[in-house]
Amino acid sequence: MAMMFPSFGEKKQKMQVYTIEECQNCHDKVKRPFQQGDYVYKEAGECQKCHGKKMITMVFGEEPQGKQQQAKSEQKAPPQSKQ
Amino acid sequence: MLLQASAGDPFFNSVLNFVLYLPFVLFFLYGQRLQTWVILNSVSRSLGKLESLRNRSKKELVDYVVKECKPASDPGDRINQFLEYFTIMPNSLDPRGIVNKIEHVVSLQEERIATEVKALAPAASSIQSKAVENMVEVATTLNMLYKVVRHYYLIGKKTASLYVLMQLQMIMPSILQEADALIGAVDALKLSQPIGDGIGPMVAGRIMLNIPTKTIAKETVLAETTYMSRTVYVIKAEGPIGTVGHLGKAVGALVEDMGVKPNAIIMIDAALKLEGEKTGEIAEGIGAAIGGVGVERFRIEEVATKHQIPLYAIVVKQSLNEAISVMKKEIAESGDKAVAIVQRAIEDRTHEGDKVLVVGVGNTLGVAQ
Ligand SMILES: [Zn+2]
Repeated sequence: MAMMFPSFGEKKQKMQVYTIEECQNCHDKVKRPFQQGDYVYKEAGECQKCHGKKMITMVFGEEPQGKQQQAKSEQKAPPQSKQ
Repeated sequence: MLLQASAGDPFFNSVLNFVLYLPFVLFFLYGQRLQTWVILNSVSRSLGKLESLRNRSKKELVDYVVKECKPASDPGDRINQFLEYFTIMPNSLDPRGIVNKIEHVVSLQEERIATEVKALAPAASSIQSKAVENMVEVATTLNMLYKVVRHYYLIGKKTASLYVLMQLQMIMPSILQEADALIGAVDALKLSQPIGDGIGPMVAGRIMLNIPTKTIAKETVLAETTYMSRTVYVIKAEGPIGTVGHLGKAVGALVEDMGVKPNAIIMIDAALKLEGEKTGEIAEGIGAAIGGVGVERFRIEEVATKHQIPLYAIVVKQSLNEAISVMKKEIAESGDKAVAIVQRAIEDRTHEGDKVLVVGVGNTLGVAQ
C-alpha cells in the first residue's frame, strides 16, 4: 500500500503565490508575486493609469503548470515551424 | 537432458516431487508470517514519513519563533513540552448544559495557548503570535497523529498480529494525506497568506469594504450597510490575523443584546467537497454553515430558532488539503460569484425595509475587511 505513495508530498509541486492589485477606479488589475505583508483588502498605493486608489483583491496560489506547458510547447514549436 | 535421462528413476522422482511441493507447504505454514513481515515493512515506511513530517512542523515552528519573534531564550525545550499539552473534553453522560461546558473548556484552551505563546515570544505582533498559535496547533496534531500510529505499529509488532497491522495499513494512506495537508498549512501560516477556508471571510469582507466596523465579540467585527433598501449587517472574524472569531457569540450579541431581529441570516463558508467535485464550486442550502466543535453552530441555531429567523447557507467546495493551505486560484475567483449569490439571495428572500445578517465563516488569515 505504501508503495503506492512512495513520495507523498514530494511529488506535489509547491504553489506559486500571487497577489492581484485592482484599481478601485478603473478596475485595472495587476498580477505580481506575493510579498510578505500582503493581505486581501490592503491598500496598494496609486494606480499608474488613472491615479486612483489600488487595493489587493486576491492572494492565491497557482500550481506552476503554466511554465511547464510553455516549456513543452516551446520544445514542440521548432519542428512545427519547419513544416 | 538430465530430466529425460533419469525420468525412470523412482528415487529421483520422489526428490523432484518433494522440491516441487516444498514452496506450497512452506507458504501454507509461513504465509501469514510472510504477509505480516511485508505489511510491517510498509507501515514502518509510512511511520517514518509521518515522523519526518512531525519533525518538520516542529522545526518550522521553532524557526519561525526564533526568526520572527526574537525570544530571549531558546524556545526549543518549551515548545517540545508544549506539544504534549492536552485538553480533556467535558463528560457527556448527562448532556444537559454540555455546550456551555465545552465552550468553557475550549476558551480555556485558547487562552492557555495564547498565554504560552505570549511567554514564548513577548515581542511578537498580534499577527505573529496568532501565526505561532496556529502553527502550535498543526505541530500538536501531527505529534498526536504520529504517536497514535506508532502505538498501534508497536502493538502489532510486539504481538505479531496481522490484523492490527492490516487495519493500520488500510488507514495509512488517509492519515498520510491528512498529515500532508497539515504540513501544507505551515507554509501559508508562516507568510500569513489566506487559506482556502478564508473564502467566507473574504466574501463578507468584500461586502463590508470601506464601511466602518466595530468589534462585537472577541476577534470578531460587525459592519452595517444597505443594499436595495435592506439594512445588511455583516459579521466576520477580524482580519488579517489568523482567527475564526467568535461568530456564535457575535450573532447572539447582535440579536439579543442589540435587539436587531434580522429577517434572514445568510452564512458563507467553505465546505469539504466529495472526491470528483470541482474545487471552487458554489452550492446553496439551508441551515447554519459553520464547522468546528459545534458550539458556534449551536448558538446560531438557538438564536435563529428562538426568533424564527430563516438560515440560508452558501458554501464553496474544496478538499481538506485546499481548505488549510494557501487559497487556490479557483477558490479566490469564486469570491465574486459568491458575492453575487449573496446579493441575489437578499433580493429574492427578503423585502424592502427588511434586515439581513450576512456571516462570513472561516479562518480570516490574510483577509482584512
Ligand atoms: Zn486606475
